[in-house]
Amino acid sequence: VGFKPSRGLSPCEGLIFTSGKLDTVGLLTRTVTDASKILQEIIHQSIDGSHYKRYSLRQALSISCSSPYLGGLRIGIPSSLADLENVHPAKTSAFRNVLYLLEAVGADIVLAVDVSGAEEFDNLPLAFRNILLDTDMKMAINKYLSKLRTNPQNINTLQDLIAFTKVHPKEGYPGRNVAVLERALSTDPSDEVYKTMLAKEAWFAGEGGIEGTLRRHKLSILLIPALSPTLNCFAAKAGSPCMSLPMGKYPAGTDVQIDPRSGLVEVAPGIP
Amino acid sequence: MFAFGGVGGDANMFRVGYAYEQVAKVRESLHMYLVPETEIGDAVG
Repeated sequence: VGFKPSRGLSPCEGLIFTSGKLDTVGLLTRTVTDASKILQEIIHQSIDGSHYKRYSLRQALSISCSSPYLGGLRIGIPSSLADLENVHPAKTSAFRNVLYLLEAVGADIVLAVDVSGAEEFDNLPLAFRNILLDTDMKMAINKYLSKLRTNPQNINTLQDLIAFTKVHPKEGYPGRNVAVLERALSTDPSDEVYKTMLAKEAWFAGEGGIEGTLRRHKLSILLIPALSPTLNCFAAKAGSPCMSLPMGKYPAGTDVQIDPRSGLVEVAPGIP
Repeated sequence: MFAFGGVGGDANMFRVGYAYEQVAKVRESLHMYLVPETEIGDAVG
């Protein structure tokens, strides 16, 4: 189970940021109950927010893992996300079973929910989609490097980091390239693309994204069968929570798929 | 699968996740790939 909480719930002290605006510390646990208990403890020890607010949230988390009954909870299923056009049939089948089970314990399933900003975001050129993160990354890495007290390789800027990565044999360049870092290096906050996307940020984080979708359809959460970088991006922009849950394992007879970059088996019978 | 909620709606996601885990018995079908449960949450909480 993977869980990324609402921004501000988990402390970020000591984190090496990729983006100071988007990064949030999350949890990886074996069960939802484990994640809930660890998050309750993090909230308990947090100094952020009022004592009453922290207490209320801990109570809500505790209650949420006390009964499987979902009466009154509305779950939206987005249907037109480009990221979900080629979902493996085994995942589609498992997801259908998930919806059946959730409905059986009282949830209202709302199908074909439209996330209004998703298509617009998906149709943006890659440079537009990534410009805010890339610009943040450049600033965050430079800020981190400038604060180092010990710096034996004398890497003081993102440019130094790229140069070091290219020549140090243990970095595995060019097999492990520096394309993302070079994209970040080329950014400029005075660039028109950056300004345009900054102006649209609130729309993708709000009405065009997850918050607007939940509000329009009176939903508690959205549920999808497979990874959607677009929704992940919208959640990061809004600082809203997301959770990943296993749905079982690929059945016997599934064709084996190997990731060409890593050489690891991605899909095969018995793989979770 | 992936669940997305509104800002501050963390507890709702746990409600759905917990309910699903309880009714689907996913852990049982995956147990051969996972080390035994240690109740880490109980130890922390």
